[in-house]
Amino acid sequence: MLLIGLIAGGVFAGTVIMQAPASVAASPDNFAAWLAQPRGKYGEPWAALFGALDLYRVFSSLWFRALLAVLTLSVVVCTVNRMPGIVASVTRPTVRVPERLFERAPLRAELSVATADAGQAHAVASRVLRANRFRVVPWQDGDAPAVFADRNRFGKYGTFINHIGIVSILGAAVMGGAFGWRDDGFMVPEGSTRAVGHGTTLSLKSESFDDEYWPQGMAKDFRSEVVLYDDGAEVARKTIRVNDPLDYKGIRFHQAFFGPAAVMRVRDGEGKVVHEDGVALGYELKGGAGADGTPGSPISRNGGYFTLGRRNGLPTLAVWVVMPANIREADPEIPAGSVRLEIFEPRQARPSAIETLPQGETREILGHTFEFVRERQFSGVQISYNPAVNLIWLSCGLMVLGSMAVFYFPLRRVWVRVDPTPAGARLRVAAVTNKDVLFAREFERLTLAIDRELDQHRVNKDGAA
Amino acid sequence: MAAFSYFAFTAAFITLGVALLAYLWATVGQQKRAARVATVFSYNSAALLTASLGSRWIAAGHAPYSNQFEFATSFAWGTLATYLYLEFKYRLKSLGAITIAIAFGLLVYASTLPARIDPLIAALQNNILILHVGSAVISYGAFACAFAAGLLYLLNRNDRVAWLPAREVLDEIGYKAIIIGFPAQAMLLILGAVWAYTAWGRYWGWDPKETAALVTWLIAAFYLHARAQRGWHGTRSAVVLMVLFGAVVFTFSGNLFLGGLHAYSGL
Repeated sequence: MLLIGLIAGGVFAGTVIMQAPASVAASPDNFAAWLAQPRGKYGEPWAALFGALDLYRVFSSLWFRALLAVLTLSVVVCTVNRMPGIVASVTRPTVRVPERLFERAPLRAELSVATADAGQAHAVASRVLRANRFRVVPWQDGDAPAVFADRNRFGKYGTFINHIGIVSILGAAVMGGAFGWRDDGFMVPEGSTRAVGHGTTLSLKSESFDDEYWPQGMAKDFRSEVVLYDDGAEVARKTIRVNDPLDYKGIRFHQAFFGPAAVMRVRDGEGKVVHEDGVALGYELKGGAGADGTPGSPISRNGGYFTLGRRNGLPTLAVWVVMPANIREADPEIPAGSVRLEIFEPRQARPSAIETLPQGETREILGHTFEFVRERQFSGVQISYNPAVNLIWLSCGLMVLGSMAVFYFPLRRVWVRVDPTPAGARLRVAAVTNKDVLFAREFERLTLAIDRELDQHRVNKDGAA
Repeated sequence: MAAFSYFAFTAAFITLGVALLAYLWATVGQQKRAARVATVFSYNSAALLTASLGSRWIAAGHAPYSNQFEFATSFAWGTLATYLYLEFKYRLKSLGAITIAIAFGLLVYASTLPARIDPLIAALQNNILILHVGSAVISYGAFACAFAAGLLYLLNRNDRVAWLPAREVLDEIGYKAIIIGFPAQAMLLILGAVWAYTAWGRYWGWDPKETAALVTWLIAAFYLHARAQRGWHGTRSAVVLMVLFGAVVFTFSGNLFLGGLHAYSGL
């Protein structure tokens, strides 16, 4: 219980306090740089305090994982501890109760039966309980026939089903983390094909990308026509949308984002085409220092790069392609319909050449002829593989079904005892409950029903007599 | 259709206002007849609100869960519906003074928001939306009723306030509301996970609204374990119900300041 409280507190802290993005939290240097943000937001000493408590990356922090591990362990221990007791109470319930229960139980009733004998009254009570979906176990206390009745005894097992579900959700999450992988930044320009990697032989081609908007300007639809190849052979083809991914053997391709792309053609000194492909301009460049060390432009730009050749394990050239992000905002350096090329040689921090290239024109740079063929779009795809996901859904189902069994099928127990009296019989009903108004009402109904049935019996008997 | 929806909204709003006054009068003044009036008006208001949301659904071509106005109206509906269920089951009307006030407050809030019908953005075009937000409507409504029971319990801690129901009954109604809300909240989280898996290939992302909903669920779990294993009843349980409702309000209004993946639903 304390654990649940602690975890709730931890999750709450992670909700309220700004969290470093996963990509930042993973690298100590980036994380140190990121810490300037909360410092600006919360001021000292709060920022330092939150930092000391590791509250900027709650969900990847050691203490949070330790809490979850302890929770899992305690759920397992609790469940195992309680199991024998609950199983015993379901399979071997307390059928026989001492007579004083009928005097002291929180719910009790007494009917005096003048015309039926104890055996008949006992049969009537059993019949009424059975009609109300109770399981009836007759027993005898001295010369008094008695009944133990229960309903929904299997509902008690719901707590195990629920907790097994919770533990296996956490287990499946660990499994998914260990054996699954995901790629949030996979970009394929229209008309291009990119290898998926992650130990697969898959590659994904984007045939086309389309985006549509409502008249109000909100996004209506994003879709990419994609083709999936395995070892070069086409294995799947689909139009993927935000809520409609492509699934191939558990590897899922989700339409996630998009952006501009530039198709570039490069010839070497002999005029042979050495590169003809789209380059996704997936980086947003704004502010910051320019690639050549000059202060960055305040204009938003998009950029991406490709490499040419390969010598001693390094590309011979890395080519950055930069384009203004917004056609409505004039860029003083890069006219609309042009790209700027920043070309780097190996181990150089600054570009060896910077050239602006209008569409359809060619330019000779560092022994190559570059041509900006046309502008297109790229499809941003999230690729995920999680072998444990079906276990997650199964566990979620167990968790919900288990809790519903406990809540909506509560165990009900009733004891009836019929003592023969000189005048006929004395019938007593008792139930132990924790102040449940609805059951108290049902108990009253049951007693009334028994009374009515006994009345019936009386009439019949009188009639026969 | 849109005009009818707005008309029905206004009618529901006025009817619920009358119901609220009647509940207050019935509870404080111990008026049996006022209590009957209150119930009749709240059933009518529920029917009108259903008509308003239903016609809006038809007019927009999608479930009424695309902006804050629609959320507020839907949650008012959820609170009203859960309350009327509990009232029907327990024949207890004094809870209405608080739950109907919450539902009415949500309608007041809704009426300050732009009521335009928005098209559904690409990310929300999934039928899971109906069930996902539908679960939220039920669980938040149930938690609001639990809050009302807890609050009345705290007001009547010494059984001194004659016009309030007995403490035991309030304690139990709080519990009954939680056992409706707790599985619904679990469904909310699970359906969110299913949706996230469809849309982004991951079932959990520690998104702020997601974690806030998880906190809400954990507080309800805390309440249940405290009750079942430590025998927490009465005052302590009622305080947990207050905290729980605080978490619900935080989660519900989180769109406005938390950012993250649920931020699109703004005003």
